[in-house]
Order: sequence, then C-alpha cells, then structure tokens
Amino acid sequence: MNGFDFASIMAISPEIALLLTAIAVITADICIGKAGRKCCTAGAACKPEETASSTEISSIVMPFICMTGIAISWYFMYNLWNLHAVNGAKYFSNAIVVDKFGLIAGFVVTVAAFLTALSSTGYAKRMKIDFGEYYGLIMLASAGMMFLIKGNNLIMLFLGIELTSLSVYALTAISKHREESTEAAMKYFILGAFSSAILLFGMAFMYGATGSIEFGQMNAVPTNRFLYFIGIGMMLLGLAFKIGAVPFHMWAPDAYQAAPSAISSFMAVGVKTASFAALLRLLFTSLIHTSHMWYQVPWMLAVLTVLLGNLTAISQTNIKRMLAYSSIAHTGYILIGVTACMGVGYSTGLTAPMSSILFYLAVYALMNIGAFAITMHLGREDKDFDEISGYAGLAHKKPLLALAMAIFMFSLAGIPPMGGFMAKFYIFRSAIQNGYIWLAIIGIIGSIISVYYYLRIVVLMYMKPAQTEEQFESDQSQWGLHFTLFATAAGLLILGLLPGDFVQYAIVAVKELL
Amino acid sequence: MTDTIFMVFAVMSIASAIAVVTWRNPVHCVLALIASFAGVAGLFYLLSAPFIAVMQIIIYAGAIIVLFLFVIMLLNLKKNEMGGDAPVQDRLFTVFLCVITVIILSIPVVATFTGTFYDQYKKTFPKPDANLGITETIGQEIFSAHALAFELISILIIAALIGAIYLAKKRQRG
Amino acid sequence: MQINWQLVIDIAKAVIVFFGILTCIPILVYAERKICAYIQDRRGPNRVGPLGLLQPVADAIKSFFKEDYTPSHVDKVLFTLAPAMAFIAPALVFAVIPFGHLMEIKGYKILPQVFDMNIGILFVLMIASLGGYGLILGGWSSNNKYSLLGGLRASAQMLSYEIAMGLAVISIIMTAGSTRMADIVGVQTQGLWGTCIPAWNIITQPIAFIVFLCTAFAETNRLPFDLAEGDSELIGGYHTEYSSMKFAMFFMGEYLAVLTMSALIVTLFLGGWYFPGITEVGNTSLLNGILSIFVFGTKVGMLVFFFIWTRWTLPRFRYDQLMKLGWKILLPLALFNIILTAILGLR
Repeated sequence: MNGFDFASIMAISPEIALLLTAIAVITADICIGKAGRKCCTAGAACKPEETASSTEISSIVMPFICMTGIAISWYFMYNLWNLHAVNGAKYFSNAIVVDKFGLIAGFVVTVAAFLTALSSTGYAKRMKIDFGEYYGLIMLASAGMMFLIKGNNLIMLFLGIELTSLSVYALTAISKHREESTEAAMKYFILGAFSSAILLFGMAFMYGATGSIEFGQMNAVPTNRFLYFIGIGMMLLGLAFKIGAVPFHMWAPDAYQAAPSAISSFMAVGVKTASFAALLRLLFTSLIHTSHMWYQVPWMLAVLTVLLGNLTAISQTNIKRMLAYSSIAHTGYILIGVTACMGVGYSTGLTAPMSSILFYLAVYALMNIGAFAITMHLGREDKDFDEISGYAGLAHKKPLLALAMAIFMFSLAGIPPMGGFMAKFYIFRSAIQNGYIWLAIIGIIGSIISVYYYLRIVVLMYMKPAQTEEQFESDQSQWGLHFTLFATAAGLLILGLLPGDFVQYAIVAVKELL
Repeated sequence: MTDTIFMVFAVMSIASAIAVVTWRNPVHCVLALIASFAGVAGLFYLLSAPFIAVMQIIIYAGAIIVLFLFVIMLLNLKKNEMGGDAPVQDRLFTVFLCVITVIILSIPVVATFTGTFYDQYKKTFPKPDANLGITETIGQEIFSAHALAFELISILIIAALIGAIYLAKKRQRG
Repeated sequence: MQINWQLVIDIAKAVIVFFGILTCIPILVYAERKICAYIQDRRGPNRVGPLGLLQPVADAIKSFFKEDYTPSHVDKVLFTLAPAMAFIAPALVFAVIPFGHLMEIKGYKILPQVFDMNIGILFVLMIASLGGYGLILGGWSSNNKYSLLGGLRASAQMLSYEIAMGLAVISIIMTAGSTRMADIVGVQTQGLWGTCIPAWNIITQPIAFIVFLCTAFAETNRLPFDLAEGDSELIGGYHTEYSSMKFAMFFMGEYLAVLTMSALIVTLFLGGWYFPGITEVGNTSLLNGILSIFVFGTKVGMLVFFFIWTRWTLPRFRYDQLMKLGWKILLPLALFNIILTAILGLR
C-alpha cells in the first residue's frame, strides 16, 4: 500500500498520537505562558504570585497531556496487536512494517516516556526547565523512536535515528543555566552528528552494493562485495554509537551525568531500546545471509563493552556517572544476546536469544528509570542527588525510599528474585544454548564485578550513619515520583517472579519478525 | 570530453576539501568549502542529476555557508584568540587516521574499477536512466513512494527548530 | 573542413549577450542619473557631450586611469576576488533567460537564449544564492568595521529574502508545471479564460509578483533595501575601502543585477517576449523574432525605470523592519500563496 489510505494511517496511528501530543503540549505552553504574561503586562508591576500560579498549572497540565497522549497511543497499539491482518504488513511503499516485535519494543519505549513524564511533574519545575519544550521534545523523541522501530528501509532508519537524536541532544542541554550541561550536550551533539554521518555513508555504500534500501530486498547477493563490506562496517559503527557500545561510548557518561536525571534515564532506556530493535531488524532481516562478513563484530563489541563498562563503573563517585557506565555494561549483555542470535543453526535457535533481548530491554527500562528517579527524589533546588557517599544512612531516615533503591540495585546487579536476574538468566542461557559458553562466562564475570558497585550503595544506605541531619529533606510534593518508584519496583518484582507471560509475548513477537 | 570534465570537478572538490582542513584562515576555509560543494555539484550534474546538483549549491553554498560566514564574521576572531596549534603528536595522529580512512574507503573504489571485476560490474550495472535525476521524477517519487519520509523530515526539522530556539532564547522563568 | 554552424551560433549568442548586457550598463547609469535629477528637480549630467550623453564614458575613463590602490591591511586575495564575484554572478543569470522567439534563418535555428536549461529557474535561484558573496567577502576582506557591518547586513539580508524569493518562484513553477524558462514563458502566451487577455503571471499570481518584486529589490541591494551599502550610516558599507576599477566592478555589478532582475521579472511575470498583437507564438520568421526581442527589451526597460523610480522615492528601511518584512510578512505570504495556488489550481 502506497498512499495515505485508512489502513496506512492506522498503521502509524500510535506515532501520530505522540506527534499530536507534542504539538498539543507546545501549544498549551504558549497559551498558558501568554495568560501568565498577560497578568504581568496588565498590571503596572509584575505580580509574582500570578506567574507562579500559571507555572503551577502548567507543571501539572503538561505531563498530564503527555500521559494522555501516550495512553491513546497505547490504545492504538493494542488495536494493531489484535488486528491479525496487519501483522508483518508493510505500508507506505514498504517504508513501515507493523509487526508484534515492533509493537512490543514500541510499548517499552512509550512506557519509558510515560514514566519520564510522570516523574517530571514536580521535577521539571524544581529544575527550572521550560515545560513546553521539555515535554514536547520528549514526545518528539518517542515518536522518533517508534518510527525507528517500525522503519523498514534505510531512509526511515536514518530519519528515526535523527529525530530521536536531535530531540535528545536538546534535552541534554535543557537546563541551560548549568554550564556542564551545555558542554556535555555539545560533546554529545558533535560526536552524534559524526556517527550519523558515518551511518549515512555506510547506507549509501549499501545502496550502491545491493541496489535497494528496503530491508527485505537488501538480502540479494551483493553485486559489489567491497562496497557491501565497507557499508556494513560503517553502518554497524554508527549504530554501535547510538547504543553506546565500547569503544563508541565516550559520550554516554558525560551526557548522562550532565542531563537532568529524568532525561538521563529516558535517554538510556528509550534510545537503547529503539536502536537495538532497529539493529535486530536490520541484521536479521537483511544482513544475516552475509553474516560470514560481520559475525566477529557483535562478540567483540560485547566483550569490550561488558568488561570496560563494569570495570570503569567501580571507580565512579557520582551515581549518575556510575549508572552511565552500568548502562554501557548492560548494552554489553544485550550484545551477548545479539551474538547468540548468530549461533549454530540460527534459524531454529534465533527465537530464544531474540525474545530474551526484548525481555532484557523491558526489565532494563524499569530498573534504570527507577534508579534515576531516586536521584531525582532526593535532589534539592536545581540539583540531582548524585554523590554516592551522600546515600549513607538513607535507610534510617527514609526506609521506603531505601528499599526501592535496594530493589533497583539488586535488579541491576542481577540478584534473584528481581527482574534483572531473570533477564540476565535468559540472555546467558540462550548464549550457552547457541554455543557461546565462553561469552556467557565473560558476561557472568562482568555481572560479578558489577555486584560490587551496586551493592556498595545498598551497604551505604543500610549500614552507615547519615552525614548530616537534614540532607534527605526534600522540599516539594513528589507524588509523581512516588508513583514512578512504586510502579517500577513493583514491575521489577513481577517480572522477576512471573516472567513467563511477557516472555511468551516476546516469543510470539520475535517469531513474526523472522 | 566527459572524462576530462569529470577530472576537473573531482580534482576541484578534493583539492578544495584538503584546503578546508589545512588552511588557517576560517574565511578562506569556508570559501574552499564552497568550491568543494561546487565540484560535487558538478559531479552530480555529470551523473545526470541536475536537480541534486542545483540543490547542492542552493542549500549548502547558498544558505548554510552564508550562515557559517555570518558566525565567523560576528565573532571576528583575531589570530591569538583562535587558540594555538595542537601538539605535534596530535597532528601526526590526525594525519595517520586520515590516511587510514582514505585507504579503507578507497579499497571498494579501487577494487570496483580494476581487474576482471570491472568488466562484470559494467555489465550488471546498466547506465542510469537520464530521466531519473530530473525534477519531475524526483517530485513524483517524493510525493508517492517516499511520502512518509518526506513528512517525517518536516517533523525532524520541527524538532531541530524547537531545540535550537530553546537553546538560543533567553530564560523567561525562574 | 566542415564548420559546425550550430556551435558557432551558440558561441556567438553567448558573446553577443554578454557584450550586449555590458553595453546596457552605461545606458542604465546615464538613465539613473537623469531620472534622479528629474525627480529631484535638477538637470543632471549635461556637460560632457550633447545632453551629457558621454558622461558614462567619462566615468569609465576616470575609473580606468585612477590608481588601483589596495590598502595594506586587507586580505589581498579576497579583496580582489569580491568585486569579480559581485560582477559575474548577475551576468550568469542572463544565460538562461529567453529574450525572444525562436527564429529560423536558412534552416538554422536561432533561439534567443544562451542555454535552454531544463532546470533554468533553479539555476537562477542558484546564482542568486551565490550573488551575495561578493558583498559579504568585500565587507569582510576590507578589514574595516563599517565594511564588516555592511557585509554582515548583506549576508543576513540575502539569506532572509532568498527564502521568500524561492517560495514565490515555487508558485510560478506550479502554474507552469515546469522549471524550464521557455515553458514558463510559454504558459503565459495563452489567453486567459478564452479572452485575448494574456495569462501573464502578474494577473494569475499577483501575490507571488509582489513578494518577488520585494525580494528582487532586496537581492539587488537597491533602495529601500540598501542596508549593506547604507552610505549615510556605513559610509558605503562593503565598498568603503574600494576605489578605481575594483569599485567600478561593484558599481557595474549593481546595475547588472538590476538589469537581470528586471529581465527575470519580465520572464516570470510579464509574459517574457510575448505581447498580444505584436508577437506571435509559433511564427519563426526573422521579423517576429526581432519584434519579440524588441518587446522583451521594452518591458525590461520599463521595469528598470521602475527600479530607479523606487530608489529615488523611498527612504531606507531600518534593519529590524527589514528582518520583520522578510520573515514575518513576505515568507508567510509566499507560503500562503503556494497553498492558494495548490487549492485553486490557478493556472
């Protein structure tokens, strides 16, 4: 189907819902802002309480609009999931494919966006962020991620990546008054633009070699092997940057540390999920027949990423930086899953590793958002609570918060009965099943290293006294954050204890992709 | 004849690209960049893609480079404000990386156009349709096959616009 | 040896057109001075030759023999390059303008157009986008704060008005359904609604005409948009440091730009070489061809007069007004016009 007929529109209806929400948020910001300004200009002097009330209204209304939009998008995704006719169907001249794999990955992304919006209710105001641009860019970024997941040709892949990245670059620098924020965004932007250029160059080579930009069509035997080879290399390089794999990870710690925590978690979860979904779709629908050319790349990246990510995380004193390196390490675990997909007899053994990747991404989303939400909850004024030593004695002052943090840390470390354990279990099991025992061992070594730095925080919280009396006082109502923390912690426990259902869905989804 | 013109444009774009990175004066570099774009545009024209060629000049040389110049002129840096030279080992490393990249990227080109492969390549790759690059064809493709991509680009530009305006504007709140 | 007469004709056309427009410059200069004098109620040049007709010659001789002085603090290469760029860019535009009907003499076809390009109008936009570089570089290389300000203003102004100009042209492309200049003229030679009124784009596309006219003034850096020069505030702006032949190049470039812009407006909006009752479509006789060139010349002449008239009547815009006009009025207007054209299918 080529044109904008009803079925095609329905195929991208979740994305349309997100884009319309973005526009609605920005429009609402202009309207509320104008009302606030009118208060100022009407009277002789600006009345601070009236401006404050308009800020108060928008700090509640904006995330509410976002969450409504995401809920509508969930409804459309649910519709698509139930429509058997659309599964695997391609729309817009094969630019978009609707399948359950994309819907699950898209659901993870939108959950991340939902939780980001929910947790920002009080946070954005405290951080002195302008709401319109903040929520608008979050919505635009999620729409970009959804298109990235659904894209079925190289153009859509590139546009999705760019829409996501451009929004995230700006979000990194969203608290403009902080210099390090601007600096990190600049670094991220320049490196990101460079990697996008390399990705695009690789795409051009691939097009030259195969004569097609469509994922299904590119698996013809390449006319020009040399072009094809270099093209694959450059495309993998570009995507490795987006998922934050070593040695293309240098932007991540700076960007995660400098961005507001809500954005750091959204960046880590959303970009990673969408890029991995696109990577899997690209590799296993179009490039798998030439895997002899590139099969070394995923395991090399995986080994480097797991080891370097975990080892560097040990020495961090800033929790956001530590979580950034941990996010790199988690990329490594997922790359182990990607490698496992190429194991012996891949056509039969592909379902298990790929569904475990989807499961891992979902679990990772919950635990990462939760951990960052703690730093938001404890922060004061326009700062996040990001010194690791500051967590000493948290359990004595705020036992519930400490419990939540412990759940997230246990889950990140992969200790049962948390979701993180099951996720790692599935990944390593599929690696062993497909003949990558040594890779699974490296992954387990990495996990053991990671136990040290995750549990250090738990030890600090429970076994050390607080440094000062008032350091855990938070100054605003934080109901949004409470909801977020509760939802993520509960979700991790459920996924850890009863992973079966989600894994079943993931298996159904993956079978459709192949 | 076409080969000669091709050589002229190719040498022009490569030589001026080298000039962009080696010259010291930013305005001169920007001018070299224009020459490089002009060379690339010429190559596009030779490939019977006149529309892309003209767009290359209008968008890059005509709009983006003017903005570069605008910024350079607004800053109007003196020589001592531009920062000193990088250390020798850094520069050597840069040159090394450039050479490696050039070698890697030349492999497919050289391999394609030499040896028996070239003969087979010429047979399998038909000469492109001359109508492919003209404005009408591109317009029809954009608004039918790639309509969604076209719409998505407009959203992409909106996102970039929001980000840029947000970062550039003065704070109102707080 | 066989002589390829068609090639000879093509080369001869290029040479004739180039020298033809060069010849027009002194006439323009004289016309400007005389008209300006008339508007200001004075006599204008009247000493050199009868009615002061040789005044442009005297000016030219003066420019040639004045010392070619290059200040020591300038960027020498760019300082020399800038006037050349300012001069060449408008001259190039003339390459794609059809200034007459096809003629056939003894089997040889003579098309009064140097290069019938498929993407003619885009080529014009391309050259227009490069046209401001002469001013910008002249301003920067002079290493003088007034010149720099002039160059800055030129770059911002060029960029802002180029967009509106391109959008106005898009609605013309939509009416013609082609980017070839000959097709754009061809579509204007038909009658409007079955009457003898020609379907000139000025009638079918009045909004595009207004937008294009405004941007044309801005792109040629003429009053009321001569902020880059701004003699009362910037002492000549980008050409403060220039003298003798280099200044003359800027000077000639400006008049050349006026000429090409007029020719462009005639081609895009005023039916080109066509005038009902005088020139016929499809008649390839020599007489019809010469008449069509004459019609084209007359139209261009009237527009040039309009350019001069405006210059000596209107005051200069302020910089913020300039930006406001470009971005807040012309740009939305042009966009609105595109939508209108698409909806109404205005032919």
